[in-house]
Order: sequence, then structure tokens, then C-alpha cells
Amino acid sequence: MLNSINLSQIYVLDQDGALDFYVGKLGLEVRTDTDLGFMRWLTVGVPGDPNREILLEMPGPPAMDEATAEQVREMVTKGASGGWVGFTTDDIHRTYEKLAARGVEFTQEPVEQGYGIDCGLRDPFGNAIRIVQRTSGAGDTAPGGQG
Amino acid sequence: MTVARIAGKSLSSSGPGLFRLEGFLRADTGLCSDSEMSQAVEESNRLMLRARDIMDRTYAEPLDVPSLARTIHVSEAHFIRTFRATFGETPHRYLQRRRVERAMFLLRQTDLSVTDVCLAVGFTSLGTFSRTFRDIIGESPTSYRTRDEMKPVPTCFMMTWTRPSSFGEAQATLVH
Repeated sequence: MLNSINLSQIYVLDQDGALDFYVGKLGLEVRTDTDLGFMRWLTVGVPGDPNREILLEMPGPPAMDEATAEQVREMVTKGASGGWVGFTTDDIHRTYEKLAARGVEFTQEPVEQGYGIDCGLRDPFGNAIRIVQRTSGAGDTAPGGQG
Repeated sequence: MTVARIAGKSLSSSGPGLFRLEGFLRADTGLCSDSEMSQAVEESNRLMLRARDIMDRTYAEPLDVPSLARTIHVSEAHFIRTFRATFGETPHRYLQRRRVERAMFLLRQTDLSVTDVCLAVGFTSLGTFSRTFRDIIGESPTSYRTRDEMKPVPTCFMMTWTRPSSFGEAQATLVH
């Protein structure tokens, strides 16, 4: 049966802007950046975590008509799209300081929870991102999997 | 500055406080094309989302609608109208319900007195807090406190999903 998640997707409104943010600010690495002719296949991943990547996809034709793409862009920019990514870190406070210094727009400062310490931010387009430093041994009720 | 020039700028290039609203203002006048209009709506949405994020982040501080409008460089009337068109409720109501949601959290999770909870979430008067809480939740803060604890979930989820909404559906599950 299934044994891992290797690829997930979020909509971005500008792939160069997405690279500036996900690579330049969050510190992810580009896995694939290639022109397939009909689309630019652009994926990024966390350094040291080679088995999982995120597709940064533009909404638009021919995958969807322009009117639909416009609706998707409107939903993303009002923070109501399905896109959402969670990352883990070993040192949430240091990560927070570093990203804040790079001008990342936080929606929530690090907060202690039963399962760890986490914080929230937005990408430039309106997608929500969370970063958690898990408490070791956190129970299986913890969001984000086992501690 | 023309709308076309604005359209060439990515959102990431406009830092907090440096919003380019000309596109949206042009859209208001009905003088631009569909794609310019669409771009203007996206910029406006992102701006309103940013204002909403500020409320979610700094609800505990003295924060009101006029100062929020100043922070994002729009007039108060424009802010209220556009926020409502974007999210379906006024910024004042959003902030009030955010503060009540955070008060519900503190009442459940901490031993703070009702007065301390009131002050901790940004209300300055116990009378206003109690009245607003009862109006929205249907019972007093003290009575609410006796309910069961919730499981720990990321704060933004709790803030998103347990904020008592004016849209009806959340009300049905929150008020017994």
C-alpha cells in the first residue's frame, strides 16, 4: 500500500516571486525547475529531506479557464485557498528570528502547545504556512504526526 | 502610475505598509479592463487579508478600525466597505469576535480571572466585555468557563475554526 507522501501542491501567483520567498527567505531548495512546454514544473523541498517536495503551480489555462483561474487567485489572496504547508524545525525561536529579520510576514509568533512550539506565517500570495518544533514524545493526538 | 505598471509588480516586492492601491482605485471607477480589474481585486484581497492577519496577531493591543485603516494606508470608509465585501463582515465585528474567541480560549485553558481575561484580549471595560461575550456566545464568561477542555491544535486552526462567526453555522454548534 501507500508508504509516503512525496509531492504536494500549492497555488502561487508568480513563480519567480515564489522562488524569492520559498528559496530566498524560507531556505528551501529548488528540486526541479523545467519548462514542460505547457507549464513550468517548479518544485522545492527542504534541504536534507529529499523524499518530499512541493509543486509551486500557477492557476491558468489550459488546466483551467481564465475565469476559473481568476477565482482561484481571488481565493488565494484572501487566504481562503486549500493551500497550506507545515514544516518542522529543531529551534523554533531561532528560525522565527531569522525569518522575521528577512521580512517574512508572521501571522502568529511562537506559541507553546502540548505537542510543541509553533508559529504561523503567510507566503506573499496569501497561503498559510506553519512551522513547529515538536516536543519529543508528544502523544499521537498532536497535529502534524508523532513527536 | 498606471495599472499596467502595477500589474508587473509581484506582491512580494511590496513590503508591509507599501501597498499599491492605484489599481484598486482605478477598478472602482470602472475604467479598466478585465485583467486589470482582476489584478486589482487580488491586490485588494491581499491587503484586506493583511489587515485581518494584523487583528489576529495583535488583538491584545489597543487596536481599532481607524488605526488599522491608517496602517494599511486606506481611508476608514474604504477599509470597512472593502473588508466587508471581501470577508462578509465588518472589521469591527471580526476584531470583536477574534477577541471573544481568544477570551474563550483563556477561560478554558487558564485560571485567569474574568477581569484579567477581559484585559488580556484587548477589551478595556469589563462591562463591554461581558456584554459582548454574552451577545455572541449566549452565556456569561463565568458560565462558559465550566465547559470541557479542547484538544491542543495549532493556534491558527483554533482561531480560524472556533471564532464565533456571524455566518450562522458556527453559532449552532457553540450555543447549546
